[in-house]
Amino acid sequence: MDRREFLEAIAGLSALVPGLSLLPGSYQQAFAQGVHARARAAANLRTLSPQQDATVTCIAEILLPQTDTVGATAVGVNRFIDLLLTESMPEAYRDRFLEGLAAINARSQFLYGAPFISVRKEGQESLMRALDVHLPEPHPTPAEAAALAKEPITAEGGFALLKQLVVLAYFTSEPVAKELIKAPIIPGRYDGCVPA
Amino acid sequence: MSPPEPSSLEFDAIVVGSGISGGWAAKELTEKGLRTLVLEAGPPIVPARDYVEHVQAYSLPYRGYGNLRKLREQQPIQSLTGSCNEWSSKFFVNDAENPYHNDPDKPFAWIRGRHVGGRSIMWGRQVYRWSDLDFEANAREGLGVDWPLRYADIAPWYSYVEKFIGVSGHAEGLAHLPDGEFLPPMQLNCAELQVQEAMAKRWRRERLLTIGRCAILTRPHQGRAACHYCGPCERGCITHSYFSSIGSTLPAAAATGRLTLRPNSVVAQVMYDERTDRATGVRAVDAATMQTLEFRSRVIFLCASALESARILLNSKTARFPTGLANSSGELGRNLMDHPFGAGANGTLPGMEDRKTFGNRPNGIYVPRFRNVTDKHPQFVRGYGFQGGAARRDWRRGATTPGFGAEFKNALLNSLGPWRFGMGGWGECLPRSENSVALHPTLKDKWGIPALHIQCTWGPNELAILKDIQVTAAEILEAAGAKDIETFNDELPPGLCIHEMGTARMGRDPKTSVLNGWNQSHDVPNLFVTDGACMASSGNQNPSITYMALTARACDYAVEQLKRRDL
Repeated sequence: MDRREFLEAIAGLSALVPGLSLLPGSYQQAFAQGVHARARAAANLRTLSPQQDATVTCIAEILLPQTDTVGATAVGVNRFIDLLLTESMPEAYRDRFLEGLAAINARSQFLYGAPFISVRKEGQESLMRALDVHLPEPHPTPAEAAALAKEPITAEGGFALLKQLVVLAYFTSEPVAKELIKAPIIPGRYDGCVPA
Repeated sequence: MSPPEPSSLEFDAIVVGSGISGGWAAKELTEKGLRTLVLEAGPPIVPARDYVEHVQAYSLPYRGYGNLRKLREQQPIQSLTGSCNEWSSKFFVNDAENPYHNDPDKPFAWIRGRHVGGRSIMWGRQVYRWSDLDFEANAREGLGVDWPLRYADIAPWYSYVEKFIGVSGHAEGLAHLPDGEFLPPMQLNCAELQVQEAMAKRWRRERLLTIGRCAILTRPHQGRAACHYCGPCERGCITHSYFSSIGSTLPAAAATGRLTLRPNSVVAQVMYDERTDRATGVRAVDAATMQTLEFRSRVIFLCASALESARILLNSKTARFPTGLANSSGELGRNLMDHPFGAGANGTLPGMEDRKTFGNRPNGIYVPRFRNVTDKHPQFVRGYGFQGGAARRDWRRGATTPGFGAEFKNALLNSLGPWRFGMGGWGECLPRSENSVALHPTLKDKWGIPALHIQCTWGPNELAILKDIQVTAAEILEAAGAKDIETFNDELPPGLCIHEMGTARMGRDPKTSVLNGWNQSHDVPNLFVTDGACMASSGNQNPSITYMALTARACDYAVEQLKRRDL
């Protein structure tokens, strides 16, 4: 799937936004407000702004794209993340997550002169490869984790947080868990060594 | 809604608490003919409604991520333990309703379940006998007080309990971790077998790896079905395949026709008569109506958990016992212990990529204690055992594995990560007088009962053990050929192992201990405490089986004494 197809695939949510960067500022803003309101209502988003949502949706789909099996967009990864941000995540986590998204866009702006969603696919992927390196330490001590959380979040840190949520949201979605993973709920026995 | 009132307020026996220990007291006392009232502070549990082990993540609002805001508000302490999650947080107390206090620089995590069945619903199910290496340790080293019993005294009671609850395990013939009445062991997986073999080669029997010994049925037993390997036991088990008081001891007690179980009954005090020098009953608060209730009996068993039983006694002051009932020794509330844990090592075991496991085994490996068994370690006394296991990670590894795109997705969907082996040590904690609890001068719980001030820290011996755990865990992984070995120490506060014990210790001398060798109060003969409070030392084994055996033994003794009119 190329970027155009991808944008079409997610058009129903909020991905109309990227194309707007070609329009003059004031028009862009006026147009965007209407589009944003509609997109927001369509997706029932309560915390993510249309721009944030577009970033989440875009990165999620590149992480776990539609192939012969469903992708992140098709299972509504962005909606689940919005739910966690709105109802579940402590405010400090939520803010850190949103600051992380902003940091990703700032990096994109610095490198490509445009927010992430407006960058060409090759640029997006190359940025993601660069960000995909600061995955969380498997075992920070509580003191280390607390110290780390006090530092301003980087684009790498923001990407790591987003990746965690995207993976969770995708693999715990009903279509993926039920139709693709198909782990038996009641295995009935344990065998410690079977062919993989 | 209040439960139906018992037809009488007079019983032969009162048992406070309905968990691991209380369930056993209820079973033994009723089976021996006593009309027994069990008072449980929390609500009833209805397995068909409350057990959620087969509920899938997608059926939950937050798919297992949980409502962290609500957890932090209502259960900031309980949710420190992983089993207090979106499925099973209902089995843990509301921290706001159940406050306690500790100095900020001395964190203590008190993890509690207040409902019929107590923590026997969410317990870890690991069961290991003690040996005389443990029972003689205090006397040998001159620490704490000597246990008033030895392995020979408790061994038949271990057998008695194991035969009823069903324990799966593998007999290893170790003197210091005696074998029990085992049902067939669960299987080790291919990677664990490789570690086992490598350890045998390097250490022979000095450091050996065995399958965890657990109170989970590997074949039908006592009318309960064998485990079906769904995995998350802490959410309950509709087939009662692991031992819980709800599935085993309480039904046995009810079958006698002599059990009265009263939920929502928060016991505040044990009542005591100075003239007869006997406990006469208990005073409780109805959790729903806040009404004060009094129940009377000939004998009382406190099985409310180490800290709750201590709290009840500290809150039962009389003229003769101005610092708390049965506290002439001054040891009530002291010598609090928990097992230091949360340290160990992880690594990757190369190879075996064409093999995987089938089913979710709710059990792991065990490496019995090997420090200070025959040799003498220069840095610390006592020792630790390892628990852990090997697994190949499923899609969850995606959150921390580099990569993205179609290949990344397909790999997470269709393949597993490499074999990872990890284990952590469960160390022994020494009894120290300064690790103690007292009634807080002002803080009270929702039912008006004074809350505890808890003062507990790890001592140098526990810290040395945690350090050594990391070293030897890495040695074992190295011997097994593991790559990318990483040691860890999560620096967990005491309490979080949920093995708190020692606050009304047993001993030979009434001047230095609260209970005698039968879990009977030195001071008040018809008062017994058989939960973790009774422990004179902590061992490094998971303690529940010892509480069960001591409870059954104490019940046998108490009923004999009642018959002889000696109580």
